[in-house]
Amino acid sequence: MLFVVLTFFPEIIVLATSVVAKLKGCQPSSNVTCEIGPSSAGEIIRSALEAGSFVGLRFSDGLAAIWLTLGCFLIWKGWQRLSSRLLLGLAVSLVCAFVPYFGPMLSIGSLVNPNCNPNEGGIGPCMIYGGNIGFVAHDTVRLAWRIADGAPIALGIFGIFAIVAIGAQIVARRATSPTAE
Amino acid sequence: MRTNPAWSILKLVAIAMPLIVANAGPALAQTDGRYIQASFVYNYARYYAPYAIQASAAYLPVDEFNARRATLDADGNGTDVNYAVQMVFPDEKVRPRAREAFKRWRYQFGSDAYLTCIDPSDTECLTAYNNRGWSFSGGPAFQVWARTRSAKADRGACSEVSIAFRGTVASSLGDWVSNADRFGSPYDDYYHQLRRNVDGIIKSIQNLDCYKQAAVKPQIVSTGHSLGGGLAQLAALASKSKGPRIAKVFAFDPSPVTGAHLVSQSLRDANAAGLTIDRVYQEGEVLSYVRSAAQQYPSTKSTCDPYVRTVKVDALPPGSPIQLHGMAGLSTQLVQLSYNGDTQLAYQAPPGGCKGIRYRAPVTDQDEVLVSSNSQRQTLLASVRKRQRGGSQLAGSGALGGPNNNSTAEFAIQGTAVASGKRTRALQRLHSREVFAQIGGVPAFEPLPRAQ
Repeated sequence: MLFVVLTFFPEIIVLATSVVAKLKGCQPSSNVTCEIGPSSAGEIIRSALEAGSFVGLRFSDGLAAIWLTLGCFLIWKGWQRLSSRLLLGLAVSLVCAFVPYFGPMLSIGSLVNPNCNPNEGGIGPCMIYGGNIGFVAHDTVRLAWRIADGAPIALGIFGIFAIVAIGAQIVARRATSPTAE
Repeated sequence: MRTNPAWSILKLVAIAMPLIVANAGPALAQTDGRYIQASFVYNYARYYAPYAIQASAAYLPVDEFNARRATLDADGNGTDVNYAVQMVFPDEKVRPRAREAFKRWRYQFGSDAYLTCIDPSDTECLTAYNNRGWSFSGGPAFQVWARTRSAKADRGACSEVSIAFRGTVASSLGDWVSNADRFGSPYDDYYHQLRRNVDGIIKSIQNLDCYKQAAVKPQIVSTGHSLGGGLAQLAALASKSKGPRIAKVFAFDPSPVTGAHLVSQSLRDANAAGLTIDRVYQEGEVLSYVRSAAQQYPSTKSTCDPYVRTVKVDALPPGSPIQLHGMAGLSTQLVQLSYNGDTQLAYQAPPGGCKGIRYRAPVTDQDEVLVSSNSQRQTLLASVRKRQRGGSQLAGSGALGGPNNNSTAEFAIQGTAVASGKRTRALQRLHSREVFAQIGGVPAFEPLPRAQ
């Protein structure tokens, strides 16, 4: 579980920061800086989005394959039933296929305001909670195109995992059937 | 053991042939202007810059432009132009140049709402709307700009009309649903909405005052960035065969999705005949890989009908593929590349094309006279140069198409009364008509009111 959550940790930070900022009475469109502890909400969101974009880029560059292979290995070790392995493998693959690329953009979806309308053209400033998020916000929109690279990797790894899991099941059944007779 | 010389030659040919084939392709394409390498982009930067600005400005709210329509700022530029330049170019040093590149254009109308049917009398559109898929809020955002012949914002004819489509924005689910419409979608996405409304948009353009006032009907082009580039290509492929068609598409970092599957084969072929598509992209941007793997019709290799030109720009500093996909940087660099130091480079349209091409490249970015081919362009320029040498009234203020464009030839083409004296102006008009008469016999030139 922790393994999966780690992939969208930056998005969780963005969502948590915006919840805290709203609880403090700050408005996303406000020009007044929203202080959270030693830092500001805008700065935290900006850093988290940078991290999210970095994760998305690295995943689409091939990290997704390593990550998922490790995930499938853990599923293999932790669950014995074929259906459990396949369902969990599919769930983890789908998470890895979509979240790293759409996650950062969706996490700031509720923060879009007249001072910040992220777009793939990179046109216009982006101010959230009084902080200048800048080009990082626009990057989150463009990052979603990397799904074209990332999703095939993730689904491909799941396909291999499924073949291996089903194959292993068939071999195991064949091995046990003579002893049963 | 001695080797047979014939066998050695055969081996050499076998090794050399793939290398020759691999390198001859781009070289041959280069000669017909179908492939413009990054190193040569600066030649055409001034030509592409206004369309890049439009594709960038398409990301700005339509309401802001509606509020600024047909008004002038104190500096004499359109309020719409100044707003677009201010928002698109954060760097204040670039803004005067961007204004210079864009000052001839005026915003006309636009939309960023869901499109039912722009023309309520269009029965085909109404039928398509009644059979639409699942709906969601939002529609293809676009802005229509016109290159005016008048310095006044609300007067005069226009020589060219451009439909600029917006790319993807984060706040819109519809944008991403549309981006996924590669082979078809159950949703009434932007491609579907645009498909049924292209003729409505063109009809609205035909109803523009500046369009009606033009002696020769202005050509219509479309532009856009990313998703907007895909929509711009669909608009060109889907317009009805009866009315005016889109002559050229300027697609910046375009989406591989063009929505061509929504257009019937016969209509698609009819619109593709004579169409030019310029795909301008920054090298290494995120969609360049996607396009190479999954480009929808028309293919990048299409040499005619439509004529697809690839323009590779290498203007941005190194960055990740997602950073290179931006339009703000590309617009800035195209504007900057159109200058050498403080001197604006000569205006030049890319060469090449096929027979029967619809697009007529403007002679300059200042005037409104259009020519339909390179040979006609040369005839016009030669004629203007001849007059420049012969006519003392018009001579003496610079070379044709040269930096700063204070050329007499340009004045002669433009017909704008900048030079002093009524006699000079009369001569300019006379010459302009004569110049154009040599082109095709159609009086495309329309005298302008005095520039303010």
